[in-house]
Amino acid sequence: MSERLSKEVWTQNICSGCGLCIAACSKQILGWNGESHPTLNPPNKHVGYTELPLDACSFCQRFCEEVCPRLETFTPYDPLLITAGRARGPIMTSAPNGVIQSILAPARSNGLIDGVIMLDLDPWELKPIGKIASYVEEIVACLGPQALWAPVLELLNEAVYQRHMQDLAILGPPCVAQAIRKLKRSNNTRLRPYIDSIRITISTFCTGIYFPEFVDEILIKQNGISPDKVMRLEESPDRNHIGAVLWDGSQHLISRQEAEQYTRPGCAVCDDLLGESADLIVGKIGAPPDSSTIIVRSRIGETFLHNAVRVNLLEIVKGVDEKLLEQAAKEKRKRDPGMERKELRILMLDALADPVKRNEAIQQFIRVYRTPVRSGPDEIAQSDCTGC
Amino acid sequence: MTSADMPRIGVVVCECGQKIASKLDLPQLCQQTRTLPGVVFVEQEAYPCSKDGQIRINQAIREHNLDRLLVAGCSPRLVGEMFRSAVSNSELDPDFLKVVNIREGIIADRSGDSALVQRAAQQSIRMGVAHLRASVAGGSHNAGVQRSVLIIGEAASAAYMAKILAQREIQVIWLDSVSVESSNGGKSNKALPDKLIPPGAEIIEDSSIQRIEHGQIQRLQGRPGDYHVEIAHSAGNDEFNVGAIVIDIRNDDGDLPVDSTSWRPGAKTLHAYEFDLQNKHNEAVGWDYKNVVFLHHHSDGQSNSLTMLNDYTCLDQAIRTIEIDPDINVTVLYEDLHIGVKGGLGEARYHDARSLGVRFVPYTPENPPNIQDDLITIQDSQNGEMLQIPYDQLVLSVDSEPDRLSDSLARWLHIPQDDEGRLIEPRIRLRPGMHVHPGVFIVGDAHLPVDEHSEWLQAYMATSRVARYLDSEEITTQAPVVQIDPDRCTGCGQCLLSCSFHAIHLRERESSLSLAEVDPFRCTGCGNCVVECPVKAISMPIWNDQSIIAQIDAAVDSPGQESQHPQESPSTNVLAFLCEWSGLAAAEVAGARGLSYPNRIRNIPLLCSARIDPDHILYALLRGVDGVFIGACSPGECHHGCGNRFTAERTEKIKAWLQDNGISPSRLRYATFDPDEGQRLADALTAFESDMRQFA
Repeated sequence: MSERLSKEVWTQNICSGCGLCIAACSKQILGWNGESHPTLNPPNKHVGYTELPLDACSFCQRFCEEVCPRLETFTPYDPLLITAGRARGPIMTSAPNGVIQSILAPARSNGLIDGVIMLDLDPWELKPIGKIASYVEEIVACLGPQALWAPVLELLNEAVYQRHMQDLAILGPPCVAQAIRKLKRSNNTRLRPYIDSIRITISTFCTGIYFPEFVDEILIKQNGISPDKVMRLEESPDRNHIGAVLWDGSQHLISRQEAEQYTRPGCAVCDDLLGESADLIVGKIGAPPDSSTIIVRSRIGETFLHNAVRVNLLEIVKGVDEKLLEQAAKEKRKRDPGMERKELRILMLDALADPVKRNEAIQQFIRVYRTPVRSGPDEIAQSDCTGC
Repeated sequence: MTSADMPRIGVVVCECGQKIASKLDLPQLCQQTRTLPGVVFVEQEAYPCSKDGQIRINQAIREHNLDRLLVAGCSPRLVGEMFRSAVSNSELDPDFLKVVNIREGIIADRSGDSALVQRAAQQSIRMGVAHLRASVAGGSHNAGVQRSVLIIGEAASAAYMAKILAQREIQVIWLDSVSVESSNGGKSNKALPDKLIPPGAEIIEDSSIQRIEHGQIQRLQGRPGDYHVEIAHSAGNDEFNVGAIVIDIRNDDGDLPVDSTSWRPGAKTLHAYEFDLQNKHNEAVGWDYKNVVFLHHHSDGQSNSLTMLNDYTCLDQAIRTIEIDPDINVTVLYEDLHIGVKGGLGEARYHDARSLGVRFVPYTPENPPNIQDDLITIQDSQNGEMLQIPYDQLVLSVDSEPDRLSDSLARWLHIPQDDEGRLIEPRIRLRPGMHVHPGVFIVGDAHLPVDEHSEWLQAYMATSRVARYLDSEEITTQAPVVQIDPDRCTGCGQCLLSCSFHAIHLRERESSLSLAEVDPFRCTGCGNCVVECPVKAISMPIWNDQSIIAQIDAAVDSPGQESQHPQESPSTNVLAFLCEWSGLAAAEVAGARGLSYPNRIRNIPLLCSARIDPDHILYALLRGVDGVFIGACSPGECHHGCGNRFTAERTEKIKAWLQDNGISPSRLRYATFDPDEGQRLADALTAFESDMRQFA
């Protein structure tokens, strides 16, 4: 059993839903089973007339643990460049999706990449799905609302092993970038094919991604709009609304606050707003009017940005409000205590099995809950202590 | 905490005549209690519950400037309310009055070990004091109620309610003939034919009734007592503020077995419920049927209590029709009749119908009846014979389905739905006719398919309830309401789905993250969100984290005891978290009946089992408790929606954690009780305690 994943991620409800463990599993036995995290579905093994569940994990190198972004803390990559831009291509737009398209499209035509793994919207079901786009038209046509959740990295196997792509761009929320960062850090040679074929990770500013059920609940059931009347779902550039564009041209807006109750539980402990592990991040916070903020965190990101500017698909704008960015990033760091509490729980469980850690766990619990064990004497000590 | 804001706690130890005083060394108990931090007053009282006992308590509160009071005596549920009202005139906040039970532990004790009994009482008092010291006050909220009502529905009962409420000078907005865009693009209009409207319920024009036809609800939000509703209709959009909402929507028609493009129900076709109304009408004006045909059909894939109801209604109506006049030719066309078990009531009805002369013709879905203006052509599936049946009244006995609008209303108003999508009463035994939120009333089909009489009864009931509710002019919170710290809230939205009552919503704020806000009039104080919040931004008065942890600490610490009896096992080995409505009530029943359960169990009462935090359980186990017991309400009986379900799921999760870490999951036990199951609780606790000895 993939012990750490189950103990520290799945049962603690902090799975990011990136899907990389599913792609990396050497036995291909991780999958979605109606839970908010992957589950292990080992096949049965036939021995004569008996059937035994396959012990798939005992002798495995645990690729899943090696790539899970939630088993790791990341120090942010320092930004090389903070700027803003707007798309000047066939579609003039300042929306983050448009800016990303105007960076990816010329990258594809100039051969910097040969494919993109990204989030698309299935227009029939109105459900987000992962998509491998391999030519420019696809990249431009398929970019869906990034605030919805689909495990995009699941598609890595198809892209690398079936479609033999060698220069992939990965587009997803910051946790996807973290997963790729963790993957690249691995020394395991079996993971090399993935590492070698990923060129760049691009993220959008993220305060959490939503289970797609809210489309059914809010749009279809609450407002009585039948799904066949909806042409597409769109995210407003500032991410404050998700709009359903109907075939009759009208638009129905769902506010971010309405959708937020469908936030994945894993997002509640994620403090990464500005894609601190991605090569290139685009979003609306701090951007001057009619543009999107772009943060470049690596040389590769810089190359992609310059490529887009060079072919005149992207126009650079000056005047990003970096204070606002900092403020917003700080705001999301308030989610750190969630991670702290998860660690406390794991420590307490360890301490129950191992009495040596007992005192440490109790002390940690008291620290987290800020409560003295025996309030009486401690209180007096606290107020009179000179700290000598 | 400095001594200035250290609470001043008073403890009254009840002698209960000689019941307590004869078994415990009360002077010693008082002496030990005096040494507890925060305690400024301890008094032994023969009968605090007596009139002069209460007067002396009030006196003590005044003289010693007490802001918290612990009564160590008997059952908290029995006397808690009495003491709270006794101190209501004093400075003391009634939230800060706590009763701990030291009496029933004595009565129930079979061990004869007086030292153990003494220690148990002492520990209960220590836990009570610890709780009072660490808890924070809640306070109550008040808000006004708009003197207006929104009535949604096209039934005659809706017209009646509008009329009566308007007469009481209540502003009425009547959303009549509600239309919902159906998936096939059509609009349904389910107004009753005029002649079927019962006398007294004529549609009336009144200046204080604003009637909107074919409106569609665009937005419905707000708080109980002040809902804001936006309705789009043919003349534009209108916005209203209403204090109460009555939902009286009809059923949707089920599927018909016939091709709907070739034939539409006309004047000679009635639904089963309309047929009943028409019969009532005909009693006055006389009958003119010769041939009545019932077309019976079940919707695809449906099989539930309601399909059965359809079958019975069909048989019943056929029999009643033929009983009116034996000359009427009654035919039932059916595909599949469920008449219950062999020899049952349904079969008897079926035989009755046959003997009275009702003709039954089966058909298959492949050869559905072909309906013309006066004639139905049908192939009898038993003998293949083609039949031509004339009719002057066709009754559609089809399954009813909840109106599509109920989906939408359920989401706007956060009303729970059953499997079929009907709006349900959450606690039918406790609050019949009442729904989740104050000021929302549901009548008739929207709730369950009802006959005419029940619908009218419900309408009368709802009318008087609306009037009483709106007359009250103000609503007050009933429960301790959770508080959200805006500095800690990160807008992750996890609390929203954890709330059975949808009392939490998110609001946009300046920073990048949204802010969760509580509607105090919807919050019932179950505490589930407090547990779910990943960053502990939500806190609950009285049952705050600190006070629960303080109780755990008080239960496991026994100062002075270790040194005196080093070999003795600790006086607490099991901690029981008991829900006030079930576990605690059962414990009191057990105590009142003198049922014995081990004296080494300490209980922590909670308003709802959903408040139990996994961290607290792990902490208790770490602090040396052998086992943790959770006593919650029986499934479906939770006073806070589905708090017990959340707890059951959470317990399973914690057990899985324990299992993964090589700790026996049996150290945590979840059990459900009814309030009167004292014996079962005593047995469960005894069994659990003896199981736990192996972990000591």
